[in-house]
Amino acid sequence: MTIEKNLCGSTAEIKLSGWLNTQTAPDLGAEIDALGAEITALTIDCEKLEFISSAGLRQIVAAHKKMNGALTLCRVSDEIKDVFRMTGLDKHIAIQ
Amino acid sequence: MKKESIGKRITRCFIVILLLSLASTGAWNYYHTYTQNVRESRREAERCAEIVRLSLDRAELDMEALLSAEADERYRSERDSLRTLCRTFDLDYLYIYTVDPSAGERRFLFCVGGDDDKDAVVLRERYLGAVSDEAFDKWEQALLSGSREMQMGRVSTRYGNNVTWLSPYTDWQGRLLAVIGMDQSIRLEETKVLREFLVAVLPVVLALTTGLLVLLILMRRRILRPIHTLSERMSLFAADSSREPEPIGIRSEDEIGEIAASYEKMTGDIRAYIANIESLTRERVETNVQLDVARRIQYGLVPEETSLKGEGFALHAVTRPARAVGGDFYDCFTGDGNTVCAVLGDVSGKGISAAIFMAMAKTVIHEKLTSGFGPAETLNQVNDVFCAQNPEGLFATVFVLVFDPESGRMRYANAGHTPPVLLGSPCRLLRPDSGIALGLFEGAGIVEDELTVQPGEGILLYTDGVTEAVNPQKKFFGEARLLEALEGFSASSGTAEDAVRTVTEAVEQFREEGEAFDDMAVLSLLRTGRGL
Repeated sequence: MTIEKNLCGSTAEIKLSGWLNTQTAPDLGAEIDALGAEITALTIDCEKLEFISSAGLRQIVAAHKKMNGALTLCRVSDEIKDVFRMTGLDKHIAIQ
Repeated sequence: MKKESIGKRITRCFIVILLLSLASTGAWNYYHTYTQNVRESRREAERCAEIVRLSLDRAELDMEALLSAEADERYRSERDSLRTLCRTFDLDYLYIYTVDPSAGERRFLFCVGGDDDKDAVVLRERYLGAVSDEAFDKWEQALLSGSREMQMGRVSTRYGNNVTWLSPYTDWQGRLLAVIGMDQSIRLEETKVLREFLVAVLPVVLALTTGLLVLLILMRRRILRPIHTLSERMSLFAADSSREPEPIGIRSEDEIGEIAASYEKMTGDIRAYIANIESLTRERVETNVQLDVARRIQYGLVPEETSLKGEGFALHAVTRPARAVGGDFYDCFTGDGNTVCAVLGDVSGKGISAAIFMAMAKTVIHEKLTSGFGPAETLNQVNDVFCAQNPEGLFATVFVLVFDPESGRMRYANAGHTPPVLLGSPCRLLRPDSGIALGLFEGAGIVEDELTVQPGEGILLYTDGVTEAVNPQKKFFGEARLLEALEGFSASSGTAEDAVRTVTEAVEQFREEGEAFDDMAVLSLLRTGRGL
C-alpha cells in the first residue's frame, strides 16, 4: 500500500495504490487526520487501488465527514465500485 | 580452571623474560670473555716463546753439547733470565726440552718455576738432561708430525691444573730442535674470566630489572587497574542490571578510556532497552488479558457453531474469527408466532473495538426483533442508535431475515451486506436492495423485500470473509466460486450443516496455507418438509 498526497490551495488529492485493509487503513487515517482546516475538499484517486476492506471503508467515511461531504473518489475500478454499492456508500459518496 | 589475574600472569612472564635474558646475555658474555682471554693468553705466550727463541738463537746453544756439558756459570745465567721472563709473563712454569720420537722420551734443557718454591722443585726434578718417558700427548704429537703452530693444551699434572702452551723451536731448515713449554694455572685464568663477566653483565641485569619493574608499575597503573575496575563493574552489572551504575571514573585518552566510555554508554543503552522491553511486555500481557476476556465474552455471545431446528426449518451457523477477536456475528432464534429470525453481520475493523461494537449491534438488533419490529424497521432504528453514539466511526453491515416455516415466506432487509445465496436448483444470488451499512449516515432508508421458498429450498448468508478470501496468488474467492462450490449441494437432500460446511471447506481449500485476513461467518436456513 502506498499513499501519495498533493496539496493545492484548499483542495487535496490522495493517490492510493495496493491494498487498503486492516493493516494499511490506519496509514490513510493518519494522512487524513494530518490535513489542516484550510483543506475543504478532498479527491481520492483510486486508479491503482486493488482492494478495500471494511476498515478501509471506515477511513473513507471518516474523510467524507471531515470534508463535510466534499469528498470525491475518482477512477474507481469496477470491483471497488461493487464494494461501495454493496455497502450502500455509493448513495452518499461521490464516485466517478 | 583456576582464575588468575592478568597482573599475576604478566609479572610471571616478566620474571621468565628477565631470567631468560640474564641467562642468554650471561652465556654470550662468558663465551665472549673466555675467547678473548684465550686469544690474549695466546698472544702473550707467542711473545714469550718468541723472546725465548731469540735468546736461544743469540746464545747459539748447541743442544747436544749443552746436554753433555756441566751446568756451568753460563747455563745458570741463561736460566736466571728465563726465570725473569717466566715471572714477567705471569707463568707458573717455563721449560725447554728436546724430543726423541724413536726412543719416546723428552730431555729437559731448562725448566724454571715462577715462584721460588716451584723453582726449587723443578730444579731438583727437571734438571738439565732429566729424561721423561711419559707418553707424548696429542699436542706434542702435532708438533712432531710437522705442525709449527703453537699448541694449546689443558692438562692436569702433578704440578696443578694448567693451560699449557707448546711452541716449537726449529733450525733454519724447519726441523724441530726443541719444544718451549709455558704453563699457566687455570684458576688464575678462570677468576679473570669470571670477574670480567660480572663487570660486563651486572649493569645489564640492573638496567633490565629496573626497566621491567618500571614497565610493570606503569602497566598496573594505566592498564591493569582500570581493566580490573571495568571487570568488576561488568560483573556487578551482569549480576543486577537494574542497579544504577556508578560512574567508572576512567577518563584517559587511550583505548582503555574508549572502552570505559563505550561501556558506560552500553550499560545506559541496555538499561533503557530493558526498561522498554519490560514496559512492552507488561503492555502485551495486559493486551492479551483483555483480548482473552473479550474472546470469552464474544464466544458467549456468538458461539463458534450453532444449530437450530424446528418444525419446517433447519438452521446452522458458524463463525471463524481471523484473530482472537473478530467482528463477524450471527444470531438466530424463534420469534413470535413460530417465526425464525436469522441475523448475520460484519462490523468494520477487527479486534476489541470491533468486538464491543458487534456485541452492541447483536444485542440491539435482537431486542428490536423480539419486540416485534420487521427487518427493515429494525435496521433503520438500529442505524439511528449507532449514529447517535459512535465516537469511533465504526459501522456494521447486517442482513436480517424473518422466516415463517409454515408459509415459506421470508421477509428480509439488507444494510450494505453481501448478497445472500438462494439454495435451490440452481443456486443463485439474490440481489436485494443493498441498503447502507449501519452507523454511517442518519436516515438509512432501508427497505424490506420478501420471497417465498419451497420445501427443500433455503437461503445462505455469509460475510465478505468468504468472497474476499485470498489465495497465495492473491486471487479472491469471489461470488462465482461460491456458487460453483454450492453446485453439488442439494437443499432437498443435504442438511443446513452440509451447506455451511460445503462453503467453509471450499474457502479453506482455496486459501491453502495463506493466513485468513478477514473473519468469516456463514449461516444457512433450509425450509424442510413437514414432519422432517
